[in-house]
Amino acid sequence: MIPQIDKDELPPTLTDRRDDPHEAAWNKFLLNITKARSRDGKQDQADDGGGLIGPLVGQQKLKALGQLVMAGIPMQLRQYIWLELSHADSLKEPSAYESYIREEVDPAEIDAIVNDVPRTLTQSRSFYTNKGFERLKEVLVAFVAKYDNLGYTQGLNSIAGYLLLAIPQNEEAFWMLCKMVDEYFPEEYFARENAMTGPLADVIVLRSYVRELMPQLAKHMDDLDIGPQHTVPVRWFFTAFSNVLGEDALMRVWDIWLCLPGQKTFLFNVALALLMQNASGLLACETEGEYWSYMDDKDQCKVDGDAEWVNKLIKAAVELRKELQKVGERRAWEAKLLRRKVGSCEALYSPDEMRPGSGGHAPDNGR
Amino acid sequence: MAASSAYTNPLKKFKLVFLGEQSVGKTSLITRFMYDSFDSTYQATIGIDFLSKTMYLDDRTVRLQLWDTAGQERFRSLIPSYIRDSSVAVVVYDITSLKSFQQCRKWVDDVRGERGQDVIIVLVGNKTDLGEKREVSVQMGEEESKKLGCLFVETSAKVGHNVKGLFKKIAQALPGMEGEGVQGAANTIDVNVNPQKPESEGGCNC
Repeated sequence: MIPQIDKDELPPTLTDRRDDPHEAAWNKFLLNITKARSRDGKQDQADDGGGLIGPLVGQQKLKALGQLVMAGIPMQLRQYIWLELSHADSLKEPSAYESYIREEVDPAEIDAIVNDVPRTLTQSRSFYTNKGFERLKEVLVAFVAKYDNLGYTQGLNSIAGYLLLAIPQNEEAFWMLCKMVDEYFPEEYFARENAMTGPLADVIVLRSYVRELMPQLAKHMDDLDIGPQHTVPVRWFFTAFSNVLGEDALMRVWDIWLCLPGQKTFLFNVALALLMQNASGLLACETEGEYWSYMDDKDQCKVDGDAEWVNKLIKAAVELRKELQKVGERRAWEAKLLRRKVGSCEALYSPDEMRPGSGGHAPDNGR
Repeated sequence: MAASSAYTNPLKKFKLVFLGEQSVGKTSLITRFMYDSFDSTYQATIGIDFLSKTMYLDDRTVRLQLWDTAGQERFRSLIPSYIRDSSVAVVVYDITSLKSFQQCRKWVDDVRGERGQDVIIVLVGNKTDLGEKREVSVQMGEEESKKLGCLFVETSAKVGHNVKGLFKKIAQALPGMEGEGVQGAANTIDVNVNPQKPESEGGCNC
């Protein structure tokens, strides 16, 4: 089931084993599932869809799994759990990957990929200067071969880069990337011609939640003349935080985003939790320049920390679940507005004309 | 933070936007200017980054606000509002890439479309340290800049060549700065070109 991999090709995240506080709990959980399967006479995993976990029966188990995922999946298990619970496995077509990597793709796309590969995850991972670059290039070229309508977008490099830290098989990482682009990001997020309406719409939607949940900060943003589309850097959403958060925090965010049902908009929870953690610093900014400097400066804007900080961030993000139930509707609405605006050849950036008043950002919020 | 607002003479602010194709060295130029360092491990810019730095001139202080943009075509729709907001546009190409040079005209057109003549545009040929791979001659750069009505310099962000010269040129061209000398001060960015190593304006130090 699991092909053997040359040890030298493994990313350091998988070779330098760290003790994971949740490993025992995961092992116990997986063991119980295996026992239950054999009790039911389903020893052959292929019978029930395969995978480490298989179809979960009963609320109890579902809840236990949810708690385990929220607490963090051990690095060694991520490759299996991510692919299984996101159903990325279902995308796989036999030998398709092999043919994608052999396909001839537009040389301009290859140039763009080759330019970015050595500029990916470089700050944290010397692994990337060795075999990582080749792996990353292969996955991105395969992506361009499969999605010739989308092509390569800067930002996919860091998403794929982090996937490859958790998933040692290029092909598996590729299918996970495809699944993310197909289902986890809104439609057309990475399209050549969408004028970035998807990610911009998301930032505008985020502002509507800042207004509701952090009115003082929202007012401060208004006072500083920070337009809704500048609330946070566009890469927060565009790279699913891979270009933003520290590695541990990112993996924990992706655990929940990729694996738990109904959490495809979890990135909004994270964005708001980050703003909450940085609220006092942002409130101290006296000009728009200071605000943007703060956002882009990792020494100021706190986006990484020790295990305790990461736990706090995840907890805060999860606790926002109830407040963020309408993200899907709002982002669809904003994206539609922006597309219409772009379509009518107007400048993308004139939020004041577009949106009179400070409220009324979404269909469910007074039109 | 609070101190600046306490002064009666608020900082004069100038916004600069850095434009150009993917991996021509926009971020590296900014990093060299800001921190006098070159980081070969810098990551590709996604969307727009913002940096701000105070620069001391003779008798006044200005704050430069730098917008660093992603080079890829599809991010271009994000950029017009930043151009509209900037009094200086730095259009960068890689001297080892004719293609990156040919794209500069498009960027300059974008800037003129947004700002007309009310803008300082500097054409920058970066990566002079890779002279053996040069595809764009100094002369080509100079001629193009004349045609486009821009200032012109060649730089190497990697070895630090002429980056100060670039910002000195910009500082001298800023409104209200004409003819003024530029002085460095402790803990600030010294925009003086090192007097021991005079560098020509065109960046041709060969």
